[in-house]
Order: sequence, then C-alpha cells, then structure tokens
Amino acid sequence: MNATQMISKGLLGEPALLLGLIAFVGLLLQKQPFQRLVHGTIKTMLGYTLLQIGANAAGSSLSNLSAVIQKGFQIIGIIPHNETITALAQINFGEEIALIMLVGMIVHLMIARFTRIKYIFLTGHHMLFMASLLAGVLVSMSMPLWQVMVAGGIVLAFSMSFAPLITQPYVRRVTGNNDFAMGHFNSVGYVLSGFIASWFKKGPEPPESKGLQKLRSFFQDHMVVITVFTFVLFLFSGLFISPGGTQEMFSGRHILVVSLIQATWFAGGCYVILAGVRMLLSEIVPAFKGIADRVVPGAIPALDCPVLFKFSPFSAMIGFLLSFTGGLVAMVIQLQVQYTVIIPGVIPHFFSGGAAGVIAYKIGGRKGLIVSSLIHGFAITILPNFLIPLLSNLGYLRATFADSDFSVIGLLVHEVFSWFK
Amino acid sequence: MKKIIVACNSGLGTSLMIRLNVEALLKDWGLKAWVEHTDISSVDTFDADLIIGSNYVMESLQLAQDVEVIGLDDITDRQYLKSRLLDSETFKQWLDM
Repeated sequence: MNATQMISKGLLGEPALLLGLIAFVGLLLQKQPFQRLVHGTIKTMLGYTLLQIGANAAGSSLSNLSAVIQKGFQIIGIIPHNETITALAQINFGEEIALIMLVGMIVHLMIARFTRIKYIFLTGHHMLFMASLLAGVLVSMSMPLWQVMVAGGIVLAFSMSFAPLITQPYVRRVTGNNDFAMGHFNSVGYVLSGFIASWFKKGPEPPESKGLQKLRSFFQDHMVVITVFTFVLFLFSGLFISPGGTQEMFSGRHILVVSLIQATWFAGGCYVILAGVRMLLSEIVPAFKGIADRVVPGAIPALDCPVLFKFSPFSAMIGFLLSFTGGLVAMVIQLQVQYTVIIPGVIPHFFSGGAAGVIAYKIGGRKGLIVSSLIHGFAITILPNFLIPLLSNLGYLRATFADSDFSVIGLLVHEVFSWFK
Repeated sequence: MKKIIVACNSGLGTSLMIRLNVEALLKDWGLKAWVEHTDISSVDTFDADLIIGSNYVMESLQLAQDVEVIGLDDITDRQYLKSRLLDSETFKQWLDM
C-alpha cells in the first residue's frame, strides 16, 4: 500500500477518522490547547459511532413498522424523519457525507467573505442532513468520489447561503430587525407560507389559552412524542391485521406488547442517534463559528427555527396543528392514488409548521395563519413523494427527509446533473 | 467545578448556540465551568448547578432535583443572557467567592 492509498483507503476511507480529522483541524486553527484537541477529536469519532449504533436500532424497528403497515393497509408507509434517514445514509456513504460537509463549509465561508450574502449557517445538524441527501442523490448517479465531493460541497454551500437569504424578508418582518436569519432547510416552506399569508390582512393578536400552553409543553419533549406517535401508529396499523397474523409476525406476542416495545426501541434508537449527532456537532460547529468570526466581518448568523417561536407562541402552536392537519389530508389523498404513502411526521410539522405559522400570522393575521398553515402542511407532506424514487435506488424504503428544501434540492440536483451525463 | 446545562428540544441547534454564548461570557469573566448542551429528556441525568434554555422549553421541564433554572425570553441576545446570568443565585454566590 503506497502513501495515497494509505490516505484514501485508511485515513479518509473511514468516516469516523475523517470527521475526527475535520474537528482536529478546526480546533488546531483556533489554537486550542493539546488536551482540548485530543478531547474534541475523540468525541467527534465517538459521536459518529453512536450514530451508526442508533441507526441499527431505529432501522430495525422501522422495518417492523413498515411490515405491519404493509400487511394492514396494503401500502408502503414512509416516515419523514431527518435523523433516521441521515443515520441510514451514514452507513453507506459516511465518507462522501463527511467530505461534502468539509467542502461545503469552506465554500460557504468564501461566499460570505466575498459576496454580499453574509449569512453564516450555524444549524449544524441541518448541514449534516443536507450533506447526507446530496451524497445519496449524487452517488446514485455513479459519479466518482471527487466529483461527488466537489459538486455536493458546492450545492451544500449554496443551499446554506440561499436558505437564509430567501427567508430573510419574512423573518425581518417577524423580528423587526436584521440581527439574525433562519438557518433551517424548510426555507421553501417558509417562503410559501409568507407568500400566501401576504394576501391577507393582520388583526390584533389573541392571548394564548391554558390548553394550548399545556399542549405545547407536551410537544417539547422529542422522545416522548416519538414514542407515543410510533406506538399509536403500530397499534392502529396492527388492528387491521388479524390477531393471528400479528402473532405470527412477532413470534406469538400480542400486538399491544409489540407496539410498546417497538415504539420505545425506535425512540431509543433516535435518542442514540441524537446523542451521536450532538457529540459530533458540538466540536465541529464551534470550530466553524470560530473561523467564521475571524474571516467574515459583519456576518449574520443563521439559526435554528425555534428562534421564531417566541415572537408568537400562539401561532406557532396553531401553525403546528393546522400544518399537521394539512399533512393528514395529503396522506388521505395519497392513499387513494398510490402504493407509497408519506405519513405526516409530528416533529417536522411541529418545528417547520410552527415557524411557518409565526411567519404567516405576523404577515397575514388569523386568516393568513389558517390558510397558509394548511397549505404548508399539505405541501411538505406531498413533496417527499418526488424525492423517494431518487433515494429508493439506494435501498431507503421506509424513511425519508422531512423538510421542504431537502426534496426541492434533491430534485433540482438530480435534474441538473442528469443533463451533464 | 460548577456544572451548567443548556437544554433545547432536540439538543442540537438552539442549545449549542446558547452554550457558545454562555462560554464566551464565562471567558470574559475569567470563570471556569463545565458547560454541556443536551435535549430536555436528558436534563435530569446531569447533576447540574444551573439549567438554561428558552422559556418555552423550561416551562415544560419536570425536575426531580432542586436546581436553579433560567428561562430565556430571547435566546439570541448576549447582553440579555449576561444580565440574566448575573441575576441568578448561582452566579451571585459564585462571583462572591
């Protein structure tokens, strides 16, 4: 094995080592002490490993759920859940994803440094999700690694700059200033929501009721929401199979027990994935921010979507509920016409739907909020349909990306690069 | 060493941002603390001196232990964070030492 092989097969061929290296370089550039350097590098590698372990757990439960849904309704149910699909993608394309992220961060910093688009995208997990999508789509077009890395990195960098750019006119109307932007890959959904809401006029804001407050409080805890939702989904789908049928599938156990165990198993997998992503990003994002602070004077940080919730908690909650309703309508329509169905995800509707609700309400008042949120929920549930054929080549059958930009960018990239071939 | 936990829904984006701000302030004051960010399901598993997060997230916390909690109205403003930290019992004791 010569030196280049040693690097490409040994050092960079292993995503855990590659990500560790990225963190290492980031920390080195910030002149961190030796102890911190070792700590950060190892934690990044550990985080990656956790991601893989969680993916196995969540994936096994997801395939059981898929089997139950398929048997009960004679359809394939697909759950839009960013963390799970990313973790599944990591198993096959870890190396590509890490390289796309690295190139993406560098090009994104250059865009902010040399153009007037001064946004620095700090939502690290969305950066990772988009890199995973791009790796999945580009690899399926049988490109060599270096092309995947360059093309993916450039598309990632542009997405990170344009998502805050196109939402900023609406975000500015919500926040009243230009202090921060939204770095969240549902920008197509936010623009749609703001655009529809602008047809309506704004009235005075009603106070938030006690019931809504309690409901909001319940939905804050991801793990509880995922467990309850998966449990209901399992049990409900199980009811459409004969008791003998489910017992045959799960070695004689009752569907109630199976649902409980599988729901906690799925949530447990998600929890481990989240812990892994967190560990990975807690080293990479500060490094990225540290470098950005130095090279891009006057940069505007682009932050995660819950930053908007405080501007109108009432409409965030209503936005979520109506967005989810729109999603259910979309699901029912899909049931009538096709074999694969996107099951509306509680988490994406809560976050994307909530932030879209705040924008809609601040621009179009009550009527704007209602109409926008319903359409928003419908749109983000229908959109992944177009993405699935691009991902299913890779064996992703049961999970997909949730927020609108992933579908739109996945489709665009597929169209544009098909031309070149 | 004091332990500070910053929490948000998924423990990925918002909490990391606030954590970076907290760490920058600690550095300004020359204080050393162990700062970690996490999701709200895991908050109870840390033995923290202080828990920080957005108001909505903190409202939904059901803590078993008796810990000081700071709920922020504005999660992006560093000056506001600074004043809230300085008002907290944990920091008052700490800075007196």
